[in-house]
Amino acid sequence: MRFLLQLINGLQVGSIYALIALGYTMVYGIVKLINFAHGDIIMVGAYAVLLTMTVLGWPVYLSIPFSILVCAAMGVLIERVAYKRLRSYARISALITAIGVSLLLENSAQLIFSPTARPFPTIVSMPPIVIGSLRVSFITVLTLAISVLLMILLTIFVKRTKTGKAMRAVSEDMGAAQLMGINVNTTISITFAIGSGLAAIGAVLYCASYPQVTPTMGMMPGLKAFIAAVLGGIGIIPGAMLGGFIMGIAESLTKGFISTQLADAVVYGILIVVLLVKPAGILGKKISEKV
Amino acid sequence: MKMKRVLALMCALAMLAPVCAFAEGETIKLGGIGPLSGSTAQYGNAVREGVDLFIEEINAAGGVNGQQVEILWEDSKGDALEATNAFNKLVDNDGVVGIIGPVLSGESLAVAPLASDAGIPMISPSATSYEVTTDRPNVFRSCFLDPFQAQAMANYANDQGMKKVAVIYDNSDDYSVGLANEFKAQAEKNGQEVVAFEAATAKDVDFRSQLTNIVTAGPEALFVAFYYEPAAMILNQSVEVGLDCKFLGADGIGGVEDLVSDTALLSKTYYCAHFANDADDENVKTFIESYKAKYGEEPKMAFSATGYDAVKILVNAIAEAGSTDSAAVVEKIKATDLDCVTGHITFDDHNDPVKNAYIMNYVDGQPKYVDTVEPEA
Amino acid sequence: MEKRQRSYAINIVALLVVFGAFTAVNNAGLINKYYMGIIITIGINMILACSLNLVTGFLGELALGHAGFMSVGAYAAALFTMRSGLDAGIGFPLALLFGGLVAAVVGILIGIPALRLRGDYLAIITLGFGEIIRILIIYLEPLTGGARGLLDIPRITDFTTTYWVVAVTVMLLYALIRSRHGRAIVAIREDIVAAGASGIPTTYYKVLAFTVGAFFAGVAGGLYAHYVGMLNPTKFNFNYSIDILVMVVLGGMGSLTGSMLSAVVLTILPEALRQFSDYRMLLYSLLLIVMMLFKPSGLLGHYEFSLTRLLDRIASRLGIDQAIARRREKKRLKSATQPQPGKPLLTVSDLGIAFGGLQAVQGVNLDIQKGEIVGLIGPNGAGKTTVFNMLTSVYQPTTGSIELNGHSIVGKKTYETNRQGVARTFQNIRLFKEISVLDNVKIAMHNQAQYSMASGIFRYGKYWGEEAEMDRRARALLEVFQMGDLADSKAKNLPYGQQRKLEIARALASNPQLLLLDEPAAGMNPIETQELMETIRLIRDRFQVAILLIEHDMSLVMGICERIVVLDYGKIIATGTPEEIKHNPKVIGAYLGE
Repeated sequence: MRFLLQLINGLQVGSIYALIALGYTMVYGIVKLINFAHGDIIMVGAYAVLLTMTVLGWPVYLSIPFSILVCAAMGVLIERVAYKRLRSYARISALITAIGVSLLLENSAQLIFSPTARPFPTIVSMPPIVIGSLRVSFITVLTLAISVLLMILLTIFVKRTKTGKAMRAVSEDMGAAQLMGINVNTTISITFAIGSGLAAIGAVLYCASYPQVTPTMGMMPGLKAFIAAVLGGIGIIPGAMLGGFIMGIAESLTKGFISTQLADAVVYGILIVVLLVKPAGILGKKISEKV
Repeated sequence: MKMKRVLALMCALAMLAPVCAFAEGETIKLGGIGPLSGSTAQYGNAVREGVDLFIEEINAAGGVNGQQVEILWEDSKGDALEATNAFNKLVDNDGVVGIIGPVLSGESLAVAPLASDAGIPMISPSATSYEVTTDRPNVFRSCFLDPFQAQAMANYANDQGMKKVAVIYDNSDDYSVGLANEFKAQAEKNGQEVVAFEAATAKDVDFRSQLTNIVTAGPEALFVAFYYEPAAMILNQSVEVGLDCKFLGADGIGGVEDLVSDTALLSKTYYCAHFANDADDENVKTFIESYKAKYGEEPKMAFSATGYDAVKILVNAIAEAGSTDSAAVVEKIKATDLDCVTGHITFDDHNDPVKNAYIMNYVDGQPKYVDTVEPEA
Repeated sequence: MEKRQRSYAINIVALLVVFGAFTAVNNAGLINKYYMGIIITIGINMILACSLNLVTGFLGELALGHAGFMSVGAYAAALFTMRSGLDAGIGFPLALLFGGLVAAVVGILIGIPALRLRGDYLAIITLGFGEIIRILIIYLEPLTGGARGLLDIPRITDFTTTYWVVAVTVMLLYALIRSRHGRAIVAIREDIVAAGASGIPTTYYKVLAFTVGAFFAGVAGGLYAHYVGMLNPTKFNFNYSIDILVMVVLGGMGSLTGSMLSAVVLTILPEALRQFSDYRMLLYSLLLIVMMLFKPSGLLGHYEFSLTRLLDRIASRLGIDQAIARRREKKRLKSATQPQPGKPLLTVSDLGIAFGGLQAVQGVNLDIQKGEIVGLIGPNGAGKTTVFNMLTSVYQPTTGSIELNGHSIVGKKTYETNRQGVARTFQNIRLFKEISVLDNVKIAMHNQAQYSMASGIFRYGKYWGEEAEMDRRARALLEVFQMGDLADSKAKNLPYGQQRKLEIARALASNPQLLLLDEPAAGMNPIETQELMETIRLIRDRFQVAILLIEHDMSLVMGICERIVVLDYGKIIATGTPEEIKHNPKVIGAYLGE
């Protein structure tokens, strides 16, 4: 019984990690960059919903699309200003820039909104679903459903649509894609827009479960989601999902049955073991570097 | 009233001023250390507001010993090294004669030995860690210690008939660990049953795993040894996992009302405070009035009040000593017997204040005074 | 006086003069506790920045857990002092050393799994490591004081200790970088594949640099602990690691001088601008972004300040040029496996590799005799470079065997294969771009010197003789390619043809018995190609190596190869003399696509 409850807790946390991990995976899959600022986009999305709802009094159905737009625009802006120039530079330059962008977003938010937490308005108030003696919160079910749905949509998008094919081409070989008439800059911008838009949805679902907004709120879920993406095989859409669930469940079970203190250590332990056994992640394919 | 005595003393001293060691017109410089920026800035700024308010009042009333009082603030960012540098700067470069702060326990533990070496009077308004004042005759604090409030809450729960209690705490935070252990010890001493003792970390946002375990144990009250931000998460999530019990907290939980919209949930929450904004006490009413006049709102945190008291104790000691000589001032602080906004304060052998704590509860989402806990004689 | 002794003398005198000046000013009471505190903080930051620079600047790996190593060292050193009860005079240096060693051990434990992986994982793992260290410190409460922190540490860090620890740290790091071990570390940053192919054990040196970085971070932690007098697990968080990273990035990734300067600036500036501390992290984040966008190598890049050089320059201005004698120690350096008379140098049989479902190479048999020049040709995508990659252990074959002088090289690491006597060049030039032509060659001589880490760092024993010999041989090798006058230019500044030649020189520097050239004439005009042909013959005759070359330029292939192997769709379709190949119908078919 307690095990089942902890498992459900794990699924809930895991599906949020998965949703955020999708954004990481999209961006990494194409530009091979760990976008450290992705977690902070969640924070931007959360503030966008919070402010439009509480200050401007917008209804939820306007607030959320607005937040998605803000995040998508932010993602594109960050890519254009900070990352674009660095595509041909050493990887470490891009990584340091990404950390810089992340810190910039956090600290700007801290100056604008102060470090104090703000309550997030209630978006859905539905009673928990009760099956026998099992109580599952409605948000849990919603989060799970939305992340699975988005993963399926994203997979179809990347596999079937023209833009999706362009993305895969750019991911394989930027130069060659350009020669085939694909606008590389536009494709990368679209990738960032989609990834960041997903972060906004992640932000809403995250805040529905944990209704507090702070400037640094994106850091931990961002990091965990990144680990989830690496665990599942970075660049692979179902991998992000799988990684998210594994992380969520591992965390929840460790906290519930072993020790809270060790939850993070267990997560990192799993990551290290997986990377040592299968460096490309659980669903990843071994890729030899071209020499 | 004490204030009148202080003023009278000051007038008398003002006449003696030319005889005294300090020159006419020169100000008395005090130093303030605390996090004014960064993630703990709310605590530092709360203290600063209370301290600045008192300084403004005392200067308007003519200052001390005929001199105006000036406070120089240094931002510690909540960091021990920064606080150390800030202390050295205040003492060596600015020549302050007393220190208010530091605000957090960690930075206070770093600064206290330096203050001790220099012999300069130091009063922390908010460092609740026991060791800060240990074996340091010139280091004081104006807040009560964690064991006191943890015991107070355990006793309160016992008095209210809550026999099965649970604890959730942050094992990475000294404050939380101390509270949790003390609460548990007192509860067991009272014959209450501690049915769950769950650790978490404040960085977490998901406490469902621990709460699920707590639900299974079925307590009548849960002691939440957290600051208000994670405490709000815990309260909100307790509803989701179906936990129905009273919630107890320490001083750090104040402010939780801003983050929990469910007033029914809040009305089940009781906590221990340094100060009650709605206490029926002249000192408190005056303090709230002048605070509102200066800052436009009631103090959000009790540390504004403990800060106000800390500087009041220091300035009072300087007035009574009639000089800023460290040894004389320290002696007078030790002998403090003063009505302050957080209650009547004297100091014990360990330089901790002997004073009341207040138990608060939420009514319609607003903190309301419930009870006073007096220190054991 | 010899150059090196003069250089030591100058630096030691300079250190003593600065120390004396500081002490005099301090004794005169001009430095109060506040300023002294800042000076000590600067010193601690200098050590942190320089040690992180070794990992991030010189090795080129982003590490985000430097504060974590600092905390390990801080706790270890503090506990040593508190538990050992030794007198501060002896106890303190030992405590610092102990702190450094414990941090280094943790560095090895983290480094081995994290650094085996290629790419950006180190950043993530070190980030997580910082967290785990914090958890462990709390967990080990009886020892560390847990969440409350470790209190009452003797406050014995003073100016003298800090000054000399900084001086020693910087000197040792500098010496390390200027040894064969340091060059190996830099080579990994520049091009990890080429480094492996030049005989550098890459994982070993990655872990080494990481461990040395952790060691000095631990020493800095020890100084910190004994300065502040208390430790708290929350101090050493991600933001603190970022503070150190900003110092490295601003000063110059790959410049100790830069790290020291930025440690000074970035300690004093926030102190002076305390009231604006809200904006400090904002400024730091902008600094990171702007530096990366406009000056990714940092303000000083790879520049190092040298007092000796400055004095020499002043001296030459003044016309007091000094003749510098150079001692040259002749020493025969060790070579690889010995050729076996009568047997082929290289024997490849039934070699094959599959990528996923794709059989890229299949059933390749090939013998190469000592001193032979063999051409490997075939249409694009035939699998020629894949064969090279297997011969150099960049890829591991799925079937077949490769033997060099009777020793199998299958399953070996790239650097081990290089040590056995196989060197190569790359289709897309892979030079160590940011470093000098001379150092490019010296890196490949890594395994011909034997002096140890300690000898390199402390400059005793074999170091001087072997370095001088390497220098002489590298210059001689460059002379063969008429590049002697280019020895001190950066590799990236050479014209294309010269870069190709340098790659060959580098490959030869590792003393191979078999040299693999991957399209050496690509991009060359007919005259250059002609020159190249003569050079290749010259190399064979002079260095007595066998050469296997991939080339599309048929005039070159037909001109110099004694034997030609033709590959198509991963299989050998023909072998023979140039004359036979020219008329082989299968080969003509493959090329014309029939």
